[in-house]
Amino acid sequence: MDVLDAVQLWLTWLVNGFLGLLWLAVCARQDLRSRQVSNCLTIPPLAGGLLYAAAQGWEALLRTTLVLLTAAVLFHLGGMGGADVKILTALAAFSPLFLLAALLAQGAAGLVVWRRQGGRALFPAVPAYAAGAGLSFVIQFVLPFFTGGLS
Amino acid sequence: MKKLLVSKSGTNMGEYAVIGALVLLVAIAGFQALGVNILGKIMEVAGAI
Repeated sequence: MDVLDAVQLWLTWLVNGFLGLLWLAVCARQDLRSRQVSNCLTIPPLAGGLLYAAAQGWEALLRTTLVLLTAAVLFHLGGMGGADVKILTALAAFSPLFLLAALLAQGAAGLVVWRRQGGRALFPAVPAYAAGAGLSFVIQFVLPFFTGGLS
Repeated sequence: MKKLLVSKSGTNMGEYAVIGALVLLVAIAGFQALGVNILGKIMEVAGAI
């Protein structure tokens, strides 16, 4: 891969990552304000994500299904919101990096809430997803640009 | 499934958030490792043929 290919790939990731972050930020804002995220913001990415994962191959499809099923079990147990399930599944399909960052952020935020307010305390999880994804975006795509990691 | 699709709730319960994140991270890591191993075996068999 020459430098031009690397830059083109990096730009594609940058644009896709930025769009993903924008979507997460809008969802996070709604979640912070009302503890709810509109289905208009979650169902289309979920449907698109499932189709995208199917088109990508068995590995992406299995990963997405695994996340959907596990999160759906947590939803039915009452521990996770429906919007969170749909957002995590869409992240699993479109961006495994954002998914991992979102899960780490969810675990960290959950731990803080658990220690401060008890295990049964509720908290808006989408801002944690957005923060985790944003941090991973900076580490993966923005920092290398300034530190010369692309060359 | 319909209940899940309709739900707009964006809240997690503290303990479920921690346990869910751990379960999913371990499951995904295991799945990735399994995938690599399966791919390795397939390549091995293909190489032998």
